[in-house]
Amino acid sequence: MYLSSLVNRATHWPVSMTPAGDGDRRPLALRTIWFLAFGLLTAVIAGLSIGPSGTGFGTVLSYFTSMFTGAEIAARERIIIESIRLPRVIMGVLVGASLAVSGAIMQGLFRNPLADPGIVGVSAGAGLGAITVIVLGTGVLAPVILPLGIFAVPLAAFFGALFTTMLLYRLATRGGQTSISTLLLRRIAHAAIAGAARGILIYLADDAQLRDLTFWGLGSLAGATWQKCLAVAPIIVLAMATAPFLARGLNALALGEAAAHHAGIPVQIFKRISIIAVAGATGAAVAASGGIGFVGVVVPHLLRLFMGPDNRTLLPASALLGAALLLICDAISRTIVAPAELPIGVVTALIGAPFFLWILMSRRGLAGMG
Amino acid sequence: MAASARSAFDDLATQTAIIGKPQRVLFILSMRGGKILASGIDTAADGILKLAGAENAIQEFSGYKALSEEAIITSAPDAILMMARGGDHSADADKLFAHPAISQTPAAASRSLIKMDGLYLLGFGPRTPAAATDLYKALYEAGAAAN
Repeated sequence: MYLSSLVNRATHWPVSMTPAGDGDRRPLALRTIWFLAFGLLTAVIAGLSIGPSGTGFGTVLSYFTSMFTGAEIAARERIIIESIRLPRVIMGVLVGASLAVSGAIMQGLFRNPLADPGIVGVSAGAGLGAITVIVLGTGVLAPVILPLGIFAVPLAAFFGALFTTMLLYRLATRGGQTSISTLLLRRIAHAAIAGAARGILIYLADDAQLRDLTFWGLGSLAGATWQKCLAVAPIIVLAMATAPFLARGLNALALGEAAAHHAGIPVQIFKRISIIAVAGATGAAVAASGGIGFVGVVVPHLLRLFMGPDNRTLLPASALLGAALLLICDAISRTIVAPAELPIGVVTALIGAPFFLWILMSRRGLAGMG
Repeated sequence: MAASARSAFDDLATQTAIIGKPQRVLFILSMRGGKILASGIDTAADGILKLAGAENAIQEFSGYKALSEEAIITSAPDAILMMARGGDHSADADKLFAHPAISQTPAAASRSLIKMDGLYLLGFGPRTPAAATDLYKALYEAGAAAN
């Protein structure tokens, strides 16, 4: 009984702006956030301690105590922790958080719980931007690209994501209503265009670039360095920093644009800021790690079922769970076929796709009951 | 031509037969963005390494796959083999040995990087005996980096 009312309320869309009475799940949400923060800390420690080289938790512990005691640890262990695992864990936190928060913001913006940067094609747009730079960056576009250095790929992905999101929103929304079937149909057209553009680039690419593109499309956190973390961190942190200010607006928008306007939200400006934040976070994440799917749809959806749809708590919780989930998936991806690496996109899809199907099935069940 | 190839292989085989401790070599196909694609067994690269009397540092998988950074350290190659190519693919030695994982290998300590033309090295055609001999010389006679 309780469970069905929980599911019913969570999937009821739009929702009340002011949680009160027995609908108030704020204490539960806050407890969940604390729990997730602890979970993320555990995942960070696990991410630092798990790897194919056999450097384990004990070494990680002595690495951190050595900062205070000044004790020496072996150069090999130091490099593994400091230059290989730590940047990778930080990259995982940045990418996981930005994918999940982008998903949550898009779901609020489109008023549809199935919107996700991957599903609606923002990632594809970002990917196209990044691939363009990879293939043409040393040729035709070299004069523009080379001065940008390590920021070139994240920036290109950002503009690709921004363009796709704006186009998508403009096309899919008519009279304040966003129709999911229209969205999915447009998505097919977008995918065809992006696919054709990719095809041209693949035709232009040489054999090594082709191999890079294939693996890039599956996503990976491998090759994360401090330099790369620094390249994407400003964009992601900036986008994440806007999220707390977006939460109230997203809650209001759940009632419809007119209601949001009457609640004092400058709707047009608000939507633009949201789109730029999503494009920035997704673009930087995709540029850093390639195509990692399903984090954006699974994480916010799971949390919404559990702690309710209030974006003020949903956004931070999504960031925490997204980061923790990606760290765990990354730990799996680099140990399961060691010494090779399984692309992390494969791992998240293997976990995410069955969950996605379960969401679809259970919604159909609800519709049948209602 | 067949005879000369055979005699070249025989010469090489007698030379490699007396190698006491074979060099462990890591063949890197590409390293865009710090992600390292390396050769496992059952590849042309593995074949030419065997001909040249070297040991492939990666025996755990077949084909060319993305190698985890830590696995590079544990595989401890004595030398790195790459294809010499134009453009941005041929990472220079400084960049290669600055990679955090590669910097911890014996190859980095002796700065042993061998670069050879891709078709010559991996083509398995009439020039293969010469390529294998070149690789053997680069590994065992010249000692450190041949390039």
